[in-house]
Amino acid sequence: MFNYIRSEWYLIRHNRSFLVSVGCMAGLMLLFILLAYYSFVTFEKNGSESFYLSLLYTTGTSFFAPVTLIISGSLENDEFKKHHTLKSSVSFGFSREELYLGKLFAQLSACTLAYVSLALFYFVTGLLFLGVPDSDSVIYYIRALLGIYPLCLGFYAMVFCFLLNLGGGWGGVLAALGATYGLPYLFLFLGQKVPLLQIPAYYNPVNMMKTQWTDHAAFFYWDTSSGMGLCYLTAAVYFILFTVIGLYWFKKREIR
Amino acid sequence: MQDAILTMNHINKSYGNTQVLNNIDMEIPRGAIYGLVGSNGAGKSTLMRIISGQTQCSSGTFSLFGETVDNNHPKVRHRIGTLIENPGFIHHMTAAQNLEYFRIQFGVPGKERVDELLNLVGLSHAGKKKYKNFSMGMKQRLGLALALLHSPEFLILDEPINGLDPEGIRELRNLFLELNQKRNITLLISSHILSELENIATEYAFLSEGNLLEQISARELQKKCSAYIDLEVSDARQMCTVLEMELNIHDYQVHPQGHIHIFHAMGREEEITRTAILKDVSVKSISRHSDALETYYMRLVGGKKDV
Repeated sequence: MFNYIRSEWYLIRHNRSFLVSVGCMAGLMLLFILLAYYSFVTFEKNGSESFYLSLLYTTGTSFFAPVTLIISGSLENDEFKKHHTLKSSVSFGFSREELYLGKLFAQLSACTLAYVSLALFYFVTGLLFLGVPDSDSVIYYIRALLGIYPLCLGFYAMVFCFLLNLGGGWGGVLAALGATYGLPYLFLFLGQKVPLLQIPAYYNPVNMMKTQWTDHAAFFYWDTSSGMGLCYLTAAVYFILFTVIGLYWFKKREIR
Repeated sequence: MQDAILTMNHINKSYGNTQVLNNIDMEIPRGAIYGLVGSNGAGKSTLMRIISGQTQCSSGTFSLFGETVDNNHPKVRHRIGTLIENPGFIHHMTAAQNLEYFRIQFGVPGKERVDELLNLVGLSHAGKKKYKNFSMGMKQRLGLALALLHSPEFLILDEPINGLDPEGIRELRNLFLELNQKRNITLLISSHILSELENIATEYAFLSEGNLLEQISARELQKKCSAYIDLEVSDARQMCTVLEMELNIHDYQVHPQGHIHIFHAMGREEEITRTAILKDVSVKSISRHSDALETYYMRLVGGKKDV
């Protein structure tokens, strides 16, 4: 499997779509910073507050979830097209488990690299345009990144399950979007009859990345240690669940 | 006695209610060039995909290199190379990059292996060309390079000369012979261009509608193909009656303009001529002829008797 992961990394390095996607994400982040810069210049806010406020934009609107989705879509997952490479890998003797997990881990590591790079890029451009933030803001930013990252991994496992089995075209993308964004609403609706079904509606990676509201204030799950733990637990559950589903599905597919 | 590189026992494959392979028993001896002959939909590609692991048989067992193959023994497949239907490559990468991707995946040491293979299959000039710009013949050649990447002992090639020009066909034919004779690689080749198989195969299997009709060595096939008498008569219908009633010959085919091809009757020309004359059938000519592989195959799967 190590050789398979290495070969997938080779593929990712030569995938222009992946680099372009990350570049576009970086461009969007720069846009956010510039918008914050020009709006705060107008209203005369100081640097660290500006940085903190713009951070809310990115984390509060689940920015990293679409980032993950777009990155996953740019990677080579059309393995059931006519001219795909899987048949040679299978003929060589790789098991379906090795292929699925090898591809998943290679792409997860690429996503992690993109995630860290984008987070760093965001921080550096924030420094340049919005000034040096106070230490609390920086700590909060790191905390947010640590909370969002496992949720992104869980989210990616969900998306990968559909993209690998249905392809990277509209069918796969719509199915992935339906599962990640639509399922929570379905469970919310069903939860009105069976309250237990509301749990997956609230505790899923996409929902947990968003700003949460109480009667008194807004908060994020990673604001507290228990909330941070919940992020990791939810991510682990979704990662394992959708990896098992995706692998089972993949093993049933015939490779032609 | 040659050991078998592949042995198949009662292999069946069905998709829903459609039976595509029916009780296939087959053996490929080590060192052979094994020609798999069959029309479209006969089951050749399905059989090859079962051997390569791309699909599973519905029932039956098979062994590769003496080891029974199932999902728990994928490593034996490291010893086989395959080119089945459309070769699978990454379209936006060059030929060299594609081979490099698989070289890493298969754990083949030495980056020079890529250039070596491109040279071998006649693509040394096209290493930096993107796969999406390849012609069909070039894609087939690259597919063959991939099949050879990890130095397999057994090559499974599904219509490998598709899309090649006559010069390309000749080059690949010579390459197959070299691989077999100098590197001792066993080849399983399916082809619709039967005359090409005639030039290189040492063993044949004939498939029709999922059934294995016959397995035969090239030598035996040559004997069988050469065994027919071409009889030209004035009244073919009457002659057929004579053959069946007087001479007890039932294996024959009637062709236009009074020609009858009589099989498995070598050495009985004088008897046939004498009996025909006695029964008032005018014999215009009688001679021995040989079948091409194509004719033999058509007869095997049931060509029409034209009376």
